[in-house]
Formats: sequence, structure tokens, C-alpha cells
Amino acid sequence: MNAEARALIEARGVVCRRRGEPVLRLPEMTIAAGERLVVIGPNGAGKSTLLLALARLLRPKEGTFLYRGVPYQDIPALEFRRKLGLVMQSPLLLRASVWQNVALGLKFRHLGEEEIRARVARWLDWLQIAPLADRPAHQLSGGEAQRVSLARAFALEPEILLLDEPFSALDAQTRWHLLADFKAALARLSPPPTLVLVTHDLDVARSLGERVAVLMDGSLRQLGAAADVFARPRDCEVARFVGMTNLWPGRVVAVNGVQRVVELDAGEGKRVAVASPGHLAAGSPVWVGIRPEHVYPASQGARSNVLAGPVQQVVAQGPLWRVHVGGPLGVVMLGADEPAFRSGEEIRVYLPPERLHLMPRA
Amino acid sequence: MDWILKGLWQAFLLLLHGDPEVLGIAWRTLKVSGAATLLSLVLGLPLGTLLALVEFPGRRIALSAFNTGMALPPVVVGLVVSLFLWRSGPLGELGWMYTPQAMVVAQFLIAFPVVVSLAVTALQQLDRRLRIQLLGLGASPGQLVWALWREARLPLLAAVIAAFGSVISEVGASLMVGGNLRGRTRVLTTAIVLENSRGEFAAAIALSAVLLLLAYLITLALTLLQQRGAAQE
Repeated sequence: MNAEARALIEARGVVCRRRGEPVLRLPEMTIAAGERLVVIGPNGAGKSTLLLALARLLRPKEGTFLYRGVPYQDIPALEFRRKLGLVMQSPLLLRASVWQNVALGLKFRHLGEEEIRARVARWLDWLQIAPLADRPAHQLSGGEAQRVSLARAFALEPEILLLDEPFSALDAQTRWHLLADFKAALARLSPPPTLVLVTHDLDVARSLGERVAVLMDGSLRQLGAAADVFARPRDCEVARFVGMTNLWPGRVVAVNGVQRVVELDAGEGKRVAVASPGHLAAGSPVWVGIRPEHVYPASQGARSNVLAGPVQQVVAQGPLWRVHVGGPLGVVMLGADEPAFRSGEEIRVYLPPERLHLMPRA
Repeated sequence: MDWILKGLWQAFLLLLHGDPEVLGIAWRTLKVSGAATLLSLVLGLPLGTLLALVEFPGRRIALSAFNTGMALPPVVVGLVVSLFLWRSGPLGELGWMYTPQAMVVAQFLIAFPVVVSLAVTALQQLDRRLRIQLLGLGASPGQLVWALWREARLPLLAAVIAAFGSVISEVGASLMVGGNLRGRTRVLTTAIVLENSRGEFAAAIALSAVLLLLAYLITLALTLLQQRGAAQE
């Protein structure tokens, strides 16, 4: 099956505006049937607009989306919306019991009593909220309420599952528990739904997405396999957003097969070797980037791809440790072990050539 | 002061013995005001929903008109309805002047803006995103509206209580279009006015007691309904 045949939703020249200003521009984009797409981007990037437009709850000013090759406007609105399950950042539960809330979409679809009872019971159980079934929804904690909201969408066993920041209003611990249960619940849906999840949380994106789309200022900046987007961002803005904090401007000075030598602008002609499969010729201005978790303390004998500088700061980041190294080529290193460095101590760090990434620079 | 106590005692006796005329007036009051309230709900709730949920040109103007309508003086309503129903008026052929129908129409005009205004407020208090969420769960337009009404049921019942309260206590319009005809259009408020003007204070007090009791019982029933909903939250 080729990609075209598997395309479930396509965007064709979509432009959405708010008060005349374009907030989303999607010349083209394809979402394959059954894939998990996570849309990331800073606040105001147009993520929620995209989700609402995909759900057909917001009509683009120009262009259209296609569902299985048919323009949205040629499909009866209700018929299309009943292929969806929508979960929003705020649970938006009705003033009714948990059970009634989860049954809501099924009742909208006029399913039989038996079927409704079975499905609600199943999804309450799978999302670990069966004991709350008779509780009034307005008495739940934030995490419980969001579980109900998820169960309400999952119970529809929809073809397309659209989620707008479903975990971001929760505290960290609740978020990780729910994320784990969410993944387990997702695996129970058969056939697997096409999932589009919008988030500004990179950890959620990395843990859920097969593909990641990066939206910035209303434009799709990069769309690719999650690992690819995080390790090989297309430009330095995307790189900054996906957490590639180490970025240096430089110029390619030599090309040896797939290896390129880059002279960095700062650091008195410091050169680093980069294993890059790209097409950047000698003389090209570039950005050199590396994720902080791919920077290591240099071994004694290491000579090339080594930067040196004083330790400025050591801070905990979740269970990891983040070391900020100063000097003309400041660098951030992220590791699992608490470093023994003292503030101000001169250290040397190693940048593995295969982990360094080159991006064109204007 | 004697006559006040005497009046209260007589009122008590009247009620105790179930004076057929008083009961008849009370029953008519309930029918007329109940019908007017029901009619204002049936027409006012959909209009209020439209005004609350749909953006269209002139919406704000319509909304402020209905808000003003909440303070509509009953005598003005009585005058307008009289003009229309008068034998030579545009609707004179109906022959409704001095009938309970005319009173229902007048009371409806008083209750209608109350229902519309308070329904708009009730529905606009809901989280705007709830509409998107419900549509995203596959609600048809009808199911969406029904779910929103259910969600706003407490303030919507408050709108019904306010509407009923405004018409059952109203006297000007009922007097003008109903005429206070004994056995036909006499309701509690108009009867109280009459008894008071005749110096029959005992009867006036008795009728007032019945009116208060009736208003209280209906409001109590609606409140119980409302609070049963509140308890379910």
C-alpha cells in the first residue's frame, strides 16, 4: 500500500485566520490511517486551531481538508464528527455522574442500552476509574476528571482521536501515571485509531508520537519520525524548541566523505568534526547543534571535538543533572549521575561527531 | 387594630372551609399564570438559546431590548393588549377582550422577556468550550442544545420561577384586559384590589393569604426540582 492510499486526512492549501490575521498555514500535510501524530510547538503556534480545523469545528478561510480523499465540505458534518473522539485540556464534564459522562457520546450515537452499559463499564475499568462510576463528576480531582474525559472519548472507539494538551493541566506525577494508562488504553483500541495529539510538552511528544509535527507561527516547520525531529531538527529555531540547546554558528571548512569539519565562529578558530549525511558544501555557513544528553565529559586522551570551560551551574532536571559550562563556546551537558564538579572548576567535554547535527544558516 | 386580627381569623376560616368562590379564583389564577409561564418558557427558551449561542447582526440590540423588557410595567402591557383586542382593534375579531385568554396574552408578554433574558444569562454562564467539546463527541445540533439546557438547568429553573413570580403577582394588566369579571376573569390579585376598595379587609387578607400560599407552593415545587438537580452534582 502506498502512502497516498493510506492517507486518512490531507490538508490542501489550508489557511485559518483570526481577526484577519493568519494563525495557521498548511499548504499540505498528510495524516496516515492509524498513525500517532504529535503536534508540538510553542504557545500561540496554531496547534489548537489545527486540531479544531481537523475536527471540522473551525472552518479554514482558504483551502480544505480531505478525509479519505473527499473534501470535508462534501461529507455531512454530523457523520464526520461521529468518527471522532475529542479530548480537551480542560475535562469539561457535565453536571452528572461519572458514568453518565462516559456514556454521553454513545447516547448521542443512539447505541443500544446493553452496548452502552458494556462499553462504559469496559472503559471505566481500563482507565482505572470504575470505583468512581456513581460519583458526581464535579467532585473529582483534576487527574480523575481528565481520566473521565479520556474514557468518554475512548468509549466511542473512534476512528480518529483528537487530543488538545490532555495532560498539561496536571501535576507531574499525575501526568506520568495517566500517560502510562493512556498508552495502555490506546493499545486496547482495535483497529488502532488515528491519533493526533497537540502538546507543548516535549516529553509527552517523545513518549507518544510515532511522528512529530513542529508548528511555529502558524506554519508547519518540520514533520517526521519523532526520533528524527528531536535529533535532526531542520533549522535552529526548531532545534531550540525541541531541546537542542547547544547551538553554535560556524562554517564548513572541509568535506571528507560523510564527515565535515566545521570551524566555529566563536572560540578562536575551534574546529569540530561532524558526521553529517547532508549536502552542505565547503564554505557553507551552518549551525552546529547537539542535544545536551549527547555531550559527555571528555576522557584524558581525547584531543578532537573537545570543548573546555569553567562549570557555571549544576542544576537538577527531574532525575537528571544539568551542567552549564562557560567559556566562549558555552555548552550544556545532561547526565544521569550527579556530577562531582564544583562551580568554577575547568572541565573538558566531548562532542561525539555522530551526535553533532548541521543545519543551514542564512 | 381589632379588624386586622378579625380579618386574619376570617381568612383562616375561609380557607379552612374551602370557600368555593375563593377556591375558584385561586384555581383560575393558577391556570392563567401557569399557562402564561408555560407559553413564555416554550417560546422564550428557544429564543434565549438562539440569542445566547448564535452570533448575528443585531443580537446585542435584541438582547438589550429583552433586558429592558424585564422591567416592563404591567399597565403598559395591559394598555397595549387592550388596544389590540378592543373591538375595533387589529385583533378585535378574536373577541378576547375581558376573557382569560386576554389575561394569558398579557401575562405572557410580561413573563416572556424575563424568560428570554434569564435564559441567555444562564446559557452564557456555561463554559464556551463545552459547546466545542459536545460537538466533538458527536452531538447533533438538537443534542447539543438539549445537553446545554440540562447543564444550565438550575439557572433555567430560576428563570421559570422569576417568570411565574412576575405574573402571579401582577395586577394592572389583568385588571385592564380581564376586567375582573366575577366567575370569569377574576383572579387573586384583581379580587384583592376589589375587596380592598370595598372595605372588605377580611376578604382581602384571606385572598392575599391564598395568593402568598399559592406563590409559595409553586415556587417551593420548582425549588425542590431545582435543588434535586443541585444535589446530583
